[in-house]
Amino acid sequence: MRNDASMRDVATTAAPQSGEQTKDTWVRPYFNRYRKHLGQALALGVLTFVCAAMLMFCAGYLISRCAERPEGGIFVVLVPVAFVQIFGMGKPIVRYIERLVSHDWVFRMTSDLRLRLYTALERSAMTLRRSHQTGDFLGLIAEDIGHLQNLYLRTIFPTVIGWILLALVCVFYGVFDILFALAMLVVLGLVVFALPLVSLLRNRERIEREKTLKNELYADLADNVIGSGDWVYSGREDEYLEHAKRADAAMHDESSALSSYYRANDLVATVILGVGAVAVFVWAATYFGGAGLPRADWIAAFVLGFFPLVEVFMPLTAAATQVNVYRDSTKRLNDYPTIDDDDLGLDPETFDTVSAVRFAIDDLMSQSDETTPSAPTIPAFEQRAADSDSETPTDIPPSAPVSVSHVSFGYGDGRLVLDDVSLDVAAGEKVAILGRSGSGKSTLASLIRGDLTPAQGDVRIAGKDVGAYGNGICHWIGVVQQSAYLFNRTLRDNLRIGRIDATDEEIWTALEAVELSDMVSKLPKGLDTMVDEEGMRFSGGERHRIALARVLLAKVPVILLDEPTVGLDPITESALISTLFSIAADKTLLMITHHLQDIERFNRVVFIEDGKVILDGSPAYLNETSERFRSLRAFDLGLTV
Amino acid sequence: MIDRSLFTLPKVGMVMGILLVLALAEAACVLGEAYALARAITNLWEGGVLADQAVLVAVFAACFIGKQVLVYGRDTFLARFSRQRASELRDELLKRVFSAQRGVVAEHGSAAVTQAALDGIEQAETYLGLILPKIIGVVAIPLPILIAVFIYDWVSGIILLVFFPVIIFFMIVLGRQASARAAAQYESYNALSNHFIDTLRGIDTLKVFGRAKSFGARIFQSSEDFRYATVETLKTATLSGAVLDLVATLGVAGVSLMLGFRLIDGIMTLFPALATLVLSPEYFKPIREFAGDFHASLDGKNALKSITAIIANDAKEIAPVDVEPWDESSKLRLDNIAYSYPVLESDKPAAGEDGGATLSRRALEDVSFRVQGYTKVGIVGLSGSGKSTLANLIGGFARPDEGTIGVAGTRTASLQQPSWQRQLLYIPQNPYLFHASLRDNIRFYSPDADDEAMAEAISVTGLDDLVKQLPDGLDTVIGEGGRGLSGGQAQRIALARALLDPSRKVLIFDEPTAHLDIETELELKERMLPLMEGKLVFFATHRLHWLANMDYILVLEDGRVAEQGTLDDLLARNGKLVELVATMNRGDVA
Repeated sequence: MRNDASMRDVATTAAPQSGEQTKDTWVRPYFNRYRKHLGQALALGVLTFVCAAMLMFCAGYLISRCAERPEGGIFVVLVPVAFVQIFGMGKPIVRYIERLVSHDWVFRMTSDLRLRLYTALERSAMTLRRSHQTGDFLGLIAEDIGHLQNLYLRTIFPTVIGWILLALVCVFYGVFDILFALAMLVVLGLVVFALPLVSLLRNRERIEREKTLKNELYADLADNVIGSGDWVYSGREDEYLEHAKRADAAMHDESSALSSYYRANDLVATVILGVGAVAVFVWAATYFGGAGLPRADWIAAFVLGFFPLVEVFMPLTAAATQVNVYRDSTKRLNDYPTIDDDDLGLDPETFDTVSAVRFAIDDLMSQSDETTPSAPTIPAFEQRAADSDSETPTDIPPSAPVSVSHVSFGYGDGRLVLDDVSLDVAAGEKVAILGRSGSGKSTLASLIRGDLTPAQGDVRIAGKDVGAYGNGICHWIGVVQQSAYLFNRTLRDNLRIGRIDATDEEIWTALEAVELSDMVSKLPKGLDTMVDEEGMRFSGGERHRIALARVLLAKVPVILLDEPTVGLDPITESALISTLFSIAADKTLLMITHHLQDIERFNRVVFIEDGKVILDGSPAYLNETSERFRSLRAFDLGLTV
Repeated sequence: MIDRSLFTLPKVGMVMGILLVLALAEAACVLGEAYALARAITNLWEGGVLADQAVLVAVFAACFIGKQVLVYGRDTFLARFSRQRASELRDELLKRVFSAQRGVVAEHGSAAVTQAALDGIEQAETYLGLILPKIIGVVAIPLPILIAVFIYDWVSGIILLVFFPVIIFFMIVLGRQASARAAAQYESYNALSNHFIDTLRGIDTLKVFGRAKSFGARIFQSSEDFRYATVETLKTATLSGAVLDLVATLGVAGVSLMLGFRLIDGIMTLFPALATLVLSPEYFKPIREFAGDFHASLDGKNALKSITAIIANDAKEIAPVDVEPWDESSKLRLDNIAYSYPVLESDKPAAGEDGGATLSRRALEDVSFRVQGYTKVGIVGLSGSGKSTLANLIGGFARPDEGTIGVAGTRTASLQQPSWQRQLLYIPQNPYLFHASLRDNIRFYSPDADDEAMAEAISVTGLDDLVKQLPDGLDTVIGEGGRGLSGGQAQRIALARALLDPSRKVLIFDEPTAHLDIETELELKERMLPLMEGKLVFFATHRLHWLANMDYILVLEDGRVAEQGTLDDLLARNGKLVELVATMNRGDVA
C-alpha cells in the first residue's frame, strides 16, 4: 500500500458523515452472532487462569499438609496430589485450545465483516472512485477489519476474562467470609476497573494527538520522500531533514508520555496488588491460624494461590487504553451503511456447522506433528453462470445504436458539466470523442453507461433508456478504462471477468484477436501466470490488450473506451487501435481520446468543449471545413517525410 | 534465536551492564519475597501469632513492590536508550534518502522508505526496549534463584536444573519450526488481506462486467477457507508456546510433589519447601517471557534488519567534483556510456517508458555524444529505446555502469554531483506537487522569490486562470490530499519553477506533454519554447513536433544512439529518423 497514513485523513473526512452517534453495527453485534463460540473462547480463557491459580493453591495446601506428616502417609494427600497434576497439565493445554478457539472465532467474524463491507462498498462502486479519488482509501478500510481483530483478541477478550475471573475469585472468598470477599472486590476492583477506566479516559486525547501527529508525519514524510529529488536538486534537503526531526520529536513526546503513564500505572497497580497479597495473608492468618493444624494448612494455599492472578489483572489497563486506538476504525466502519443479513445472501446455518468440535483434544494430538497445512490458495473465479449479476439475455444484437439527446448534467455545485448535449450514434459506428481535461467527456462516458443519471434529457442504448437496464447494462456496453485494472490473480481469472463461463478455447480466441496469444503462449505458465508475479509485468500496451480481450469475451454490442492510449508511444498506440478496429468491426465503438493519432479510421469525430459539442463530423469533413481540426491534425503529425 | 546484530549497537555494552545489575537486584527481590513469605507462613503454621510476622510481611511487601520499582527504572532507562538509537537510525536513514547520490528511493521505492522511516523505526525502537531486558533476564535471574533453591533443597534444585535445558531444547526445536509456520501463516493472512484489498480496488471493474454482486459470496468463501487453513497452521505454530508452558508448569508441579513426599517422610521441613515452591515459578518466568515476546519482537527484528540494510546499501560513493557553472562555452561529453537497471521487485514506474519486460535488460549501451553551450538536444525513440534512462543519467538520478563523462572541464564517472544538480531542472511527465500551497510549490526551487517575480512566472506559464479559480488563490493547498490539479496544470507549475530560477541553465524534459490533450499540449509548447532560450536543454520525447525546435537530435534505438545530428542533416540522410517518422505517421508496426 502506497501511503496509507496520508490517506487516513482523507478517509476520516471522506466517510459518509452520518452524525455523531452512529449505531454500532460492527463490534457489538458480533457478541451475539456465534455466541456459542464466543462463550467457549471466554470460558477457556477463564479456565486457563483458574488452573494457574489452583495449581499454586493446591501445591501450597499439599506441602503444608504433608509437613504435618499425617498418619496415613501419602494416601492422605492423594486428592491434592491429583489436583496439582490436573491443574499443572490443564493450564497449558486449556490455554492452547483457548488460543485456537478465540482465533477461530475472530476469523469467523472477519469473514462476515469482509462480506458486509464488500456489500456496502459494492453499492457505491461506481461513484466511489470519484468521491475518494484513490483506491488507497479502500485499502485503509480493509485494514480496519484487521484492527477489529486486534480489538477483540487484545482488548475485549482479556478484559472480559479479567472481569469474570475477579467475580469468581470474590465468590470463592465469599464462601469463607463475605466481608473479606467484599474488601477484596474493592481492592482488586481498583486494578480491574478503576485503573483501566481512568487510563482509558485520561489517555484518550493523548492518543488522539499522537495519532494525528503520526498521520501528519506519515503524510508529510511520504509526500517529501516522493519529492525527495526536488529537495536534493533545489539544495534545500537540510531544511527538510531539520523539519522532519522536529516533527518526529513532537510525536515522540506524546508516545513517550503514554509509555511513562503505563509505567507509573503498573507501579500503582503493583502497590494495590501488594496490598491485596498482604490482605490475603492477614485474612488467612486470622481465619485459619491460631486454631492449630490441620486448619493452618490453608494459609499457604490461599496466599500462594493469589499470585497467579497478578498476571491476569496487570495488563488490563493497557488493554483498555488501546480502545482509543481502534476508535477510528470502528467509527469508520460504523459510518458505512448497515447491511441486513438478508442482503448478504448467506444462510447463517451453513456457516455455523463447523463447530469448535474440530478442536477436540484428540484431534489436536493426532495432527500436531508433521501435518503440513495445505498452503492456502486464492480461490479461482468459479465457472458458474450464476455468478453474473443478472441473467444473460439471449437476444443481444452484435451492435446497437447509442442515443444521447439534450443531456445536461452537473455535480451539484451549480455548474453544468454537460449542457444540452446530443449525440446519435448509429449501430456499428466508430466515434472518437475529444476534449480538454474538464471538458465533460468522461462525465459523458459515465452517463452513457448509466452510472450517472442526467439532470435533463435521456440516454438510450438500442432504444431503451440506460437507467432501465439496471445491472443488465453490462450485457450491452463494455468499458475499457484509462488504467485497466488487473486483479492480482491468474491471467485466466482476469479474462474470465469478461465472461465467467468462458472456456480456455474462447479465451485463446480472444487473446488471438487482441494479438496477445503469442506472448501468452510463451509464458511458462500460460494462462495460469499471475498477473503481477515477480518479474512478470505486463507493459502498458499489453494491459490494455488484456482489458480489450475481457470486453471481447463479454460479447457486448457497444464498447466504450476512456482514453485507453495515454502514455503509449505512437506505434504501440496505433497498433492497439488497429486491433480495436478489427475486433470491434461489427460493434458500436465510442473512444474518448486526447489526441488525433489514427483519427482517419473513425467514422466520426466529436469535440466537446465546456460541456457542449462544438465539432461533429467525419474526419474528412472536418478536415475540409474546420481550420481548427486541420491545424491540430498537422500539429499532431509533427513531422512529415 | 538471539539477534546478534543487537550487540553491535553503540553503547549497548554499558546498557547491558546496567540491565544486568538491575536484573540481579530483581532476583534479590524475588529471593527476599520468597524468604519472607515462606518464613511468615511457616511461623503461622507452627502456631505463631500474626502480630509477630509484621516485619516479615513488610519485607515481603517491600520486595514485591521493589521488583516493580526496578522494572520502572529499567524501562524508563531503556526507553531513553532505544529512543536515542532509533532516532539516530532514522536520521541516518533520512540523510541517505535526501542525499545527492539518490539511489535509495529509486531502489527501494518511496513507500518502502517511508514505511521504514516511520513504522520500521518505531518497531525497531519497541524491539530494543523489549528484547534487551528479556535477554538479560534469561541470563541473570534463573541462576541466583537456582542457587537459592539448591540451598533450600538440593533435590528440587536438580529438578529445576534438569528442566531448564529441556525448555531451551523445546524452545529451539519447536521455535524454529513454529517461526517458519508462523511466517507462512502470516504470509497467507497477508495474501488474503491483499486479495480482499485487490478485489475492493477493482470493484468498479467487476461492476462494469456485472460481476460485483455475486462476488461477495466468493469473498466470504475464500475468507472462510483461509480461516480453516490459518487455524490449522496455528495448531502447530502455537504449539511451542504451549509445550514451553507445559514443561514449566510440570516443573512446578513436579517440584511440589517431590517436596510433598519428602515432607511426609520427614526428610525436610515446611520452610525450605514453601520457599522452594514460591521460587519455582519465578525460575521459569524469564524464559517464558522471552519466548512469549519472541514472536512479538519478530517484526521489530526484521524492521531493524531492513533499515540497517538500506543504510549500509549505499556503499560506493562517487568522488564529488566541482562542476563549473554552465555557460555558452561549456562542454558536455558522454563517452561509451552503458547502463542496466538493477533487477528489483517493485515500485519502478510500471507503465510507460522503461517499465514492462525491459527492466533487467541493458537500457543503454555505448552512448557517446558531445554538446556545447546553450544547445537544445532532442532525444527521440520508441518506448524502451532508452530515452528516459538517458535523461536520468544526464540529470544525475542514476550512475552509469560504464563510460566516462566530461562536464564543464571536469571528468567524472557519474553526474550524481551536487554541483551539477544545483544547475539543472528536471521536468518529468508528471512533475511532483508537494502537499503545500500553490505558492510554495511554485517557488520550491527559489523560496526567496518575491511577489513580482511570482506574478511574472504565473502569467508567462498561463497559471493565472488556475490562481483565479482556486478558493484561496496562491495559498490553496494542492498535491496529495489537497486540491487535485490536471496534468497540464502540473506542467505549468514545473515551468514556473524553472522560470523563477534563471540561474539554472540546464533543463531536462522527459516526455512532458505526451499525456496531455492535444490542445493543452499546443498551448504549453508555445509557453515552453521561449523558456528554453539561453539554456542547455535535453528533451526526451516521442512527439515528433518538438524536433523542429531542437538544435541537435539523438535518435535512440534499443539503447544505442542510432543516429545523431541536426534535424536537416538527419532528414537529408534519409536514415533512422526518417524511418521512425514514417513508421509513426503511417501508424503500423512494420
